[in-house]
This record gives sequence, C-alpha cells and structure tokens, in this order.
Amino acid sequence: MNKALNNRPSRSGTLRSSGPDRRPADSWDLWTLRALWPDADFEDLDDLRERKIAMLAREREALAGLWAGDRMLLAPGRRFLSEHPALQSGLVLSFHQGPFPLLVEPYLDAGLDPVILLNPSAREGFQEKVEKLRSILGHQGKVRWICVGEKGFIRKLIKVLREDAPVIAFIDGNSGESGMDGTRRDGALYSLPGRDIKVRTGLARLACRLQCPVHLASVHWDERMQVIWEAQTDQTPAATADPDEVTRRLFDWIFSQVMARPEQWDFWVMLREASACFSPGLGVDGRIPAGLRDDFIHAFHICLERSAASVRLHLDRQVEVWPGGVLANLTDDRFYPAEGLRDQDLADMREAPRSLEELSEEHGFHWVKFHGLRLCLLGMARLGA
Amino acid sequence: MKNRETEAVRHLQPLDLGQLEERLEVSTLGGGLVGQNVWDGGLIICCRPEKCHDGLIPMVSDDPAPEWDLR
Repeated sequence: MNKALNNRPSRSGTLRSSGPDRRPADSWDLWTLRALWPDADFEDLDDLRERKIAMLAREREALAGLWAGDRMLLAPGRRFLSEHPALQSGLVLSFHQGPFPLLVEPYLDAGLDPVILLNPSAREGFQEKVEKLRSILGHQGKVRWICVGEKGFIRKLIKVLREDAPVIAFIDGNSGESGMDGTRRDGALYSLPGRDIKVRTGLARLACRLQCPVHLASVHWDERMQVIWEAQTDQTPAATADPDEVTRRLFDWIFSQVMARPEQWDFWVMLREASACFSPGLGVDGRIPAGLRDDFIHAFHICLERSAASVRLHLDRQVEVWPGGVLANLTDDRFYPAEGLRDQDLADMREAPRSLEELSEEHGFHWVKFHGLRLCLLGMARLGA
Repeated sequence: MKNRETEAVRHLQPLDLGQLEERLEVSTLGGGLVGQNVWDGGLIICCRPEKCHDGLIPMVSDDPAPEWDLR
C-alpha cells in the first residue's frame, strides 16, 4: 500500500478481504478503500479507522471552544477570504474534508450571502439547521439555496452567477437529478488507482457554457487542529473545453487531497455508490454468453461424468466469499449471492487447480455440479488440464 | 434428483448495490469508513442523513451528539 496511508511498506500478492473475525461490513469497507489503494489490507483499514476516530475526537475538542464563544477557529477562513478576493464570486467548488462546514462561514461573516447548490431533499433537512448556525454565530447575512432539479434551477443558478454571487457546491456529493442512479448511469468515467467510478459533469458543463469564474477551495485540520485553507482560483475552463475532462481535473484535485489526508475525508460512501461496476448493463459481462451456455453446461457435465480425475477447476479471478454470503469476483468487481459456497471451500483452489474428482471427494458430487459449474458460468473459473 | 445444471443457471443474477449493502449489513448512517462528521456543543454538522446521497452542504442540529459508528 501507499506509504501515505499508514507509513507501512507496500506488500504484494493476493490480499484476502475476509476472515472469521470480520463483520460483513468490514469486507465492504476494505473494498471501498482499495479504490484508492489497491493493495490495502485489513491492517490498513484498521489503521485508518483509528486515525479517523482520533481525528474526530480532536475535532470535537477543537470545536468545543467555538461553540463556547471562542471565534479564533474562524479567523483563518475570514483572513483567507479577504486575501483571496477572487473567491468572493463565481463557482466555489469544495468537498467533504475535515472542517468543511466552516467553508461557508467566512462568506456569511463578510455579508456575501452565499448561494449553496444542493439537492432538494437535502434542503428539507438542512435549511432550518443552517439558519440556526447562522443565528448562533450572529451573522446578519443569509444563505441562499438553489436545489438541483427544481423547476427553473438552472435559470436561478445562471442569474446568481451573473450577479457575481459566490455559489458553493461540494462536488464529491457527486449526485444530482436521479440521484446516484443517475450518476452511475450517465456520469463520465473516472479512473482511480484501484477502480473506475462515474462522476457528474453538470457543473463542468455549466462552467464551460457560462464562462463563470471557477475556484477550488478546501479546508482541512493541521496537526495543531488549526483550520488550513487552500484554494486554486480562476480555474475557469475554456468555452470549448470538454466537460468530461474538466470534471476529471476537478476530481484529480479532490483525490490528491483525499489521498494525502484520508482520515479527514467524510464521503467514502461515494466511492462505492459511484462505482462503475454498478452501472446499468455492466452486471452481466464475464459470464458465458447465453447462446453458449447450454453447450458449456453439457461439456461440464461430460467432464464431470467421464474425466473427473484429469480435468481441473482453475480459478481465473480473485474470488472471495465474504461474510454475509457474498461471492465476490474482485478482479472484475462483480458480486453474487454465495448460495452456500464458503470462503474456505476456495482455499485449496487458490493454491492450485483441483481436479473435479478431488473436489467431489471433498465436497460431494452435487456440490461440484452446482458450485463448480456456477463459478465457470460466472466467469470466475474454467476447466482445464 | 434436482437438476443441478438448471439450478446453477438460475443463480447467475448479480447482486445490485442495495442487495449487496443489505447482505453486508452496512448501516444507513455510519456505513463504512465514512463515520459521521459530528460537531459537538449542541451543533452537529453532518451531511449524510441518508448515506449522503444529497450531502452537499453542512447542517447543524441540536440533537445530542451520537456515538461514533465507524463500522
């Protein structure tokens, strides 16, 4: 794994993501983590969790002073905004890192009446509470809201951008109309070190069309729990720029920061929900085409009946059975019900191909007829010498 | 005797994301590495009441701070 995650040296070889003492969700978390660090293992996951817990505890402590009336925590943001006046208008794109909620505060403090772009269902729950925050901090300005998908929202967005108002969006939300289903269906492909995800391109399309100023802004905690602001201002794409490529550059920026401070990112769920492997129509490749299936089944049957001693079952993919009864093809990121197959059933096959006869002696003839054939039909195994 | 070949063919349907999360017992709120970004002192700023489908903004709440759930 990358040393940036845990300062441990990289390891090589197949890394199992299940074990007897692991909860089902642990496998899922490790799979998520491997989108960024393909060689991650459970030790890395545990290490990151510990760091995240420690970070959250320190964050709680740091914020206690703020809620008690000490506004020192807000000073860096206010100073940063005044020193970077470009951030006071245009599209300000950020993501869910560290003290990301504080991103809005300097705008309120400066009386800039920021616009927050979000989804309607988020607004329902959040508006009242954000107003309460504003009230507690004593800001006289207001937050304006634009909800994706609502009637006329594009027109409103264009209007406020043309008025040079700051429009803030957290783009790692990576959602919009039709939610994450729409992201997986229509998003642009984005390649992470360990996996492809789909990303929304709407904001990039808008920026290309309007030629409005685009800024990247982020906040994170440093070791002393001070809020550090960073920004790349005036990233406005050319009118002729490809929105997909613009979007990829935005996510390059996000993931470079996530990989530098993974314990401060709060949107890991996006990685799995946006995974391209869950896109419509991608769930069936790797399997035997339907037209060949009958022939294949017949061949498998003949091998099992007549050549079981010499024909072996070769695992062709990195296959695991996770707690929770999930058969995972980790080479292709495909998931199926285990249907009773256990991870330990695959242990010997990972070491070396087993003959159908050996498998029958160990598991029974019908086990081979079902699970052996099924692994082949799912593209995870094949018959060979 | 069951026709195992036919049975195997019937079991080729992949799990969708929802089915997968159900089997893996991923909690709605704290699933995975995400945890919850909890801001104390009577204010909770968290963007993901529904797995952050719509989480684009900070929010504040006077709910009591929940326990971490980093499962």
